[in-house]
Amino acid sequence: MDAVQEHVTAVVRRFDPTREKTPRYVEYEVPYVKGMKVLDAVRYIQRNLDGTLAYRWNCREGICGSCAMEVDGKPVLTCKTEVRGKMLIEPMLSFPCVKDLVADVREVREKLAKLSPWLAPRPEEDAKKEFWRIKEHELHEAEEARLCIECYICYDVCHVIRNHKELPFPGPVNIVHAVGLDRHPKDSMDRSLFMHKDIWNCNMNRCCSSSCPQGIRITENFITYAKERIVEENNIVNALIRRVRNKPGPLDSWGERK
Amino acid sequence: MPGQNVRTVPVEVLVIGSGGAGLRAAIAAHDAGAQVTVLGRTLQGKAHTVMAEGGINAALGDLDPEDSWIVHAADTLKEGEFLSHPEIAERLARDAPERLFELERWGAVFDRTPDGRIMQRPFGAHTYRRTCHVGDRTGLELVQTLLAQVRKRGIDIQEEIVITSLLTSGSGSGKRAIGATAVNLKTGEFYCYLARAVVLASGGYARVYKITSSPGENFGHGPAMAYRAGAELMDMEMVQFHPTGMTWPETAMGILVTEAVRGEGGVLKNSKGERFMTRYDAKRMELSARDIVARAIYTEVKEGRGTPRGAVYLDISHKPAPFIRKKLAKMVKMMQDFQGVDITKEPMEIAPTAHYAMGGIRVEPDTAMTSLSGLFATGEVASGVHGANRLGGNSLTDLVVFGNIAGKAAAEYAKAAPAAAPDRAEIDAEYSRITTSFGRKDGISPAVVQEEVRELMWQHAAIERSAAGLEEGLAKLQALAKRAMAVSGDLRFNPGWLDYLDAGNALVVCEAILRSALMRQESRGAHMRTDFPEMRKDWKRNIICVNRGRMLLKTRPLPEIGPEVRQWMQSRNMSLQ
Repeated sequence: MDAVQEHVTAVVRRFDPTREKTPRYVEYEVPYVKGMKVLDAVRYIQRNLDGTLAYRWNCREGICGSCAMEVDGKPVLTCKTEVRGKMLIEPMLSFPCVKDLVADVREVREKLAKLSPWLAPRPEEDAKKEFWRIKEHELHEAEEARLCIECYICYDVCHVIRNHKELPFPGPVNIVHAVGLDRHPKDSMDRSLFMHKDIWNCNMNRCCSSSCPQGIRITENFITYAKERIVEENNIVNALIRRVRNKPGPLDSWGERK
Repeated sequence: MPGQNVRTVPVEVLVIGSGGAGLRAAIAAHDAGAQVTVLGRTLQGKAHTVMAEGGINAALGDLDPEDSWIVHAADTLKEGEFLSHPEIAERLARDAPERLFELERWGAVFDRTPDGRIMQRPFGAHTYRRTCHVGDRTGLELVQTLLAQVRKRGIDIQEEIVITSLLTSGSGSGKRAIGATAVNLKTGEFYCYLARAVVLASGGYARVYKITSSPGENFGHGPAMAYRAGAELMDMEMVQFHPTGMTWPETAMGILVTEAVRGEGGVLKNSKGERFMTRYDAKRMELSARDIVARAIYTEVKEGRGTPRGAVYLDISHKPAPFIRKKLAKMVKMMQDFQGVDITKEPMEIAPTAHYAMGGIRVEPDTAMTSLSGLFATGEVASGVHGANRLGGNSLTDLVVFGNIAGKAAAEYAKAAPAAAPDRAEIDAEYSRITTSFGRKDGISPAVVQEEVRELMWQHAAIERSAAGLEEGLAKLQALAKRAMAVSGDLRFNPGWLDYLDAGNALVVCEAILRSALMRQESRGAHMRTDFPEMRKDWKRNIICVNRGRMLLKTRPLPEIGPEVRQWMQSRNMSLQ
């Protein structure tokens, strides 16, 4: 960004799907202030040029995950992204549009609901009357998942979601939540196995990992883990041992027993 | 007129707000057998709570076994300059360990001690180390944990629903809250939620200040709606200015630099390189109470020992870089992102920022019910916990302790409460009120009103206050309140309309702050009057604002401190004033 430039140009996708058939791209001039973020430009437009411009924001410090949008085609947290001389601002386009820059993200949580996204402590651990004793190193994997601010950038950027809406792929963010819980030292469930059919649609392009604003290594530490758990569980030797011990088989997608 | 377009939804317990307090209240009400609906203004998991950094207090004694709820309560009362309701402060400290235990069972991942207990860090003005934490993102952990439990229970949680007013029925002492009117942002539809009990957990009002760490939604719609419905507000002048906020660039102004930086060993220096806290609190230094540190920084800058940006330095770079990256991960990232400053190597430039509203709606200690029957309040929207100055780490404790109490009490109240019929005329009038500025030709932009309010509050009612300044602020506010606002568009996801709603609520809240600050002719905790620089014994009273057509103010005495805490304080020769 050139410091002497006084204005930046924002091309904003305006769209009210209840009234319009196609989106409009409207150009706005925004006075430049040093250190200005894309969110500041959006807020300037809404507060000075068109009050009805719909967008989400709240904390402006990158922890609430509300303000994710696509800037020049790449989904980012706009409160953390510097403005450019001319930029294209759109909502996250893998989602249906509510209005202007607001994406309808409900489908992510509908998918999450099928993964039992809460800690299910082992009964003997749950029965303890005192605080648990857990070593710091036991928590590393569970803790990385808890960095997630649910901005849904990983979901927006995921090519399985983008190109194959018809597949029941849970999406990177939900895999992070499920595996994070699986790896909590006191948890009793194997949510990874719930995804044993759908997760293979992911061919590890690492789009999610490379765009996570929290730096969560989604592909490496979560999707890989889930795939390994499924392979391990379906391994023929393991399956035989289970049969001998008369243990139930792995879970079908969305938690049905085979 | 909305006519047949009002959508009426009957619920048993209505929880307004989906931050920590609202979620905890919803869980408690559900577990007590009530049918619960939670309405959030933002998406799930985006509320102010996620911004909490440093930690959550509970006297677990993991590091300092001498700690107990009694000492925690004594610290809370003393640093609140004895303006907290003693029973509320005692309850906070007493219930905290149990709530923490529950959070751990629900999956909250706290930092640990080497032997596997929950780690506790020192925080300003605490006698012992009792602030449990997850690096510097404790609030996010809390919300994720509570949200998971809400989902597990299948509690109805709706997002992006904006409450416009509370509904009441009856009059005089028979008046009670029966629900709320709301707009669904996604559809623009106008709703009437009819409830047997209402829990208000909609957050604080620090956003009415120009420089603030609070998020965009905290213009005080909770206190404003409760006041309009007839509930009493209390100690509205008590706004905490956190000592360490970011000072540049403009976009980051006021963003919080967590107290954990000082808790983990960070030091404050002025532009001459002096550790100036020696002059203000030589014993506790950087870890003194927040009001004292904030005023110290303010004074240093005022007397010419600040940086050119009007700030002082906060330095943690003497600690090992891996330690800083682990304990203050969010700070390292934030300072790098906004300023390009590496805090493992360089100091930060910081100045006070409006951070937390100690004041709010007056509640009863055992039920969290407000003075309006059927309306419960919890979290930052309520008052009485933190007195004149909040201890770091006590706000998250407040959310889970009093969220639980409010939820339980609301469920119980709801069982006995009769179903109420809404007053059609009241609902029509509310619809007219919220849509009246659409298409107006002569009004000013609500964004302008907001910015003028925030500017005048910063000028006249921030760290230093005086009768003349407050009067001037009030005159400006009243002039502003007379101006009509114009909004374009409709109710569907329209930030301009939200600005309008927020501006209207901010005007009410700011009037209460200014009037209360004028009335309190002393300096106590966060409230500093240059014309009354001393704390006065006869002012150990709460200030109440109540709606009687115009804003009426009165004072209320505080009850005695309970025997256990009193004895402990006396044994330490601590003053009880």
